[in-house]
Amino acid sequence: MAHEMKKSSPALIALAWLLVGLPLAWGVYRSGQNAVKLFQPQPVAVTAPAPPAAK
Amino acid sequence: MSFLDRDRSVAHPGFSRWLVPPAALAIHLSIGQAYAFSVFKNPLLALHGADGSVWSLKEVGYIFSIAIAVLGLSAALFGAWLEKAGPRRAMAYAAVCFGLGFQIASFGAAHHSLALIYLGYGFVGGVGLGLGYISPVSTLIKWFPDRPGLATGLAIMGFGGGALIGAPLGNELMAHFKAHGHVNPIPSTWITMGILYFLFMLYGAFTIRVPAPDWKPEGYVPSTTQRALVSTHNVAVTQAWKTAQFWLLWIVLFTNVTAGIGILEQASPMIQDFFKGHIGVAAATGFVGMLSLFNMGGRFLWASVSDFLGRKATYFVFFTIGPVLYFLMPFLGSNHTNSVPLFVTVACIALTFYGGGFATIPAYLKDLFGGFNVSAIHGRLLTAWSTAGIVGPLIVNGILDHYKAAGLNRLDGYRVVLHIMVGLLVVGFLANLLVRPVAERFWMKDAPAGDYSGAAH
Repeated sequence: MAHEMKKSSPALIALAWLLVGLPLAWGVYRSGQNAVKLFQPQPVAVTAPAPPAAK
Repeated sequence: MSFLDRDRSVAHPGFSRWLVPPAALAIHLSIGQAYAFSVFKNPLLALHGADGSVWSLKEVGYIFSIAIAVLGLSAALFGAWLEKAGPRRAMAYAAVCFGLGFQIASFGAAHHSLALIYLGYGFVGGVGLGLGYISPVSTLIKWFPDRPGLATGLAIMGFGGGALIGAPLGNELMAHFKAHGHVNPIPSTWITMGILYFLFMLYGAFTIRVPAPDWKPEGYVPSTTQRALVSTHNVAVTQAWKTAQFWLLWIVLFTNVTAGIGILEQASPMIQDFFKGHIGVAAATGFVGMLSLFNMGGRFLWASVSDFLGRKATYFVFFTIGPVLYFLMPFLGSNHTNSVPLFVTVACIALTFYGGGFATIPAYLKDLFGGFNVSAIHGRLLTAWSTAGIVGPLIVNGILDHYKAAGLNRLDGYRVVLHIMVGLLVVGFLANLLVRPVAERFWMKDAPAGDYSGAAH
């Protein structure tokens, strides 16, 4: 089957990346918020079970 | 359902290959949720059956273990089928299985039936994990023959990123349903997550394209300088697993993953124990967040770097620096060097090696066995991950439980665990060192050599 040479639109490419980039950015932001706690003075408590980690 | 056929997903001339990684990411960002399953542990433990019964931590822990074991098994079993069926069909089936798994499990959570949760999230969802994990790999390699590490690294980075999304998403949904009067918010949360992930994965399935058989990137000229380990021939999956190279890479992946589990399994209590009086629960949560970010970043970074450094050299870096980092870690606590920044830095670098090991392996397989059956071979190799997922926690928890039961110093237990991981990484170093090009007798005789972009996916 013959196809016409039709270049993918840059806007379509940007949209495709945005669709996956936005949820990922939200996840990174939320993890970053957690990571900041490591550098803030915190009241020390007893050892707690491990929170979720990406293995 | 002929619209799922491979022939229907062949890209038209002028189609940009940069539309393919987002399709792969949609799948991996979804199935990566599996590593955020622990957010449901405590809510599940708090549920009561009609007879007042509750589940134990061990019973709830099996849900994740089953899912990861089934991931490896289904990737190994369906890899060869995927090569024929094409990525779109495999991704669509992965979406159905992963989404359906949540729905079945939601019944289990609603009716306090652990068997239904095992069946749903563990078995049905696990098949979705296995199919989804390997489905975009060979397609990406064919679209990016000039940068296979970068392409597969992008997708597999998504699996790490999926955990970063899945954890807050699960927590937010449970909080939302609880605020709206649901005594047990898990069923509604899982139904919602199942629908969301199903739709997001379908988006990936319908936007994935395979390149036309004669397609090459614009201006791409295959390198004329032949690297010793980059094969110009293809090896069929039925032959690949009979080669020493396959089993050496199996050991490489197994040791690298097991070592990473040595940190991840006990990350929060470990840093609190190492820096007693300095690091609290919130800071330890921050440490886990840092590890997750570096795990994800390492997947993209090292897989991309491997395109220039070579796969064997990349693993050489993991297996030479890695053991030093694991060896040093127990000596950075408050009873020795007492440096939180140094400890965190060392652990985070080690975690980039862990993530990088996952993301670089598909390109390593492509180098050794060619692109023809790379998804199927990758699928079989993922049994190393399943095995590490069982062996790693057994080593870590077994040793720490023993130290606790015997009333011994927990810090010594961590030291033993981390130094066992040093030994495992040395085994991985030797396995990587022994990797040589695949012997000619294993090459496919009836398939074209070189950058194959034919029917198989």
